[in-house]
Amino acid sequence: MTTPTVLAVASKGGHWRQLNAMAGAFSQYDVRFVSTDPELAEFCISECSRTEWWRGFVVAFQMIMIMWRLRPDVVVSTGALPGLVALVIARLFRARTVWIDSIANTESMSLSGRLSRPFAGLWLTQWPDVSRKTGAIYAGAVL
Amino acid sequence: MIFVTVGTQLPFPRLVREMNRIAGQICEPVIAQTCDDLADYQNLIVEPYMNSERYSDVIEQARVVVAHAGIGTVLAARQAQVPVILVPRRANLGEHRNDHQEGTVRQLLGRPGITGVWDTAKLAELVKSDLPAPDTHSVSGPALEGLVTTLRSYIG
Repeated sequence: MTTPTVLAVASKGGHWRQLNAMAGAFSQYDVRFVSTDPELAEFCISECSRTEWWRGFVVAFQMIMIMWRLRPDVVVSTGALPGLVALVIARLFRARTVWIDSIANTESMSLSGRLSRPFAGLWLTQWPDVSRKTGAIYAGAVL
Repeated sequence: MIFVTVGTQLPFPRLVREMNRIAGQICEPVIAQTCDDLADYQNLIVEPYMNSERYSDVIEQARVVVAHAGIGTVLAARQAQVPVILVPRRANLGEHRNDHQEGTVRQLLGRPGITGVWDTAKLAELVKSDLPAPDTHSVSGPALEGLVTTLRSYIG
């Protein structure tokens, strides 16, 4: 059996730091990182946000190119919107998907997190209260 | 040295102005990452933006970090074993799109190495006090283990 390929996606800043804080979970796999800052990760994608949502199409194209090459078995993201785009594209490639909502969302799921629900095989929050409100799974947190 | 940081998305003049005022009263140098090219603060060593290498260097040398309540900052301070004072951004002052940083402070207040204030007038006293740093045991707790185990078992 070959080692699963894990594609780990996060925007720069807090999302990226959270992904790294849990990176021990991926060390036994062939893990490849994607971020929005070329200094941080092997693959760089564009920024997009709710105010510049159309840039999501650029991110989608970039994610298709990356996944075409790597054929990941699992795609994991801690957000933000570019991570949601990654999960949508991952489903086209029949990869399994994990959304881990940012620990910054202490009272409700982020917008990207809510939208990720139908695309996430494993849909996680880092707060028990948010789990009770939304049905997302609480399994732990980076803090 | 005191390190003031407001993240990479938006300036936070309410916090930086108050830290500039405090810096005028103390001998300790204050380095400020302001996310603002235009503002000038006479008592601060201003670097509007920092790359991640510079950011890590500065945070490791800091005695205390004073910051917006961003998770990136909290994680970086913990990794560097430096205490952090968080000031949440407020949406009604145009400091962020919503008040999620207030929730962050409410939930994280009292964790090892983490303090917070809503009112910047309380910063001066707090900054001058001797704050305990997070201990090494808090870096990898049961919460992180649970998350890692769940991720591994899903990936297979």
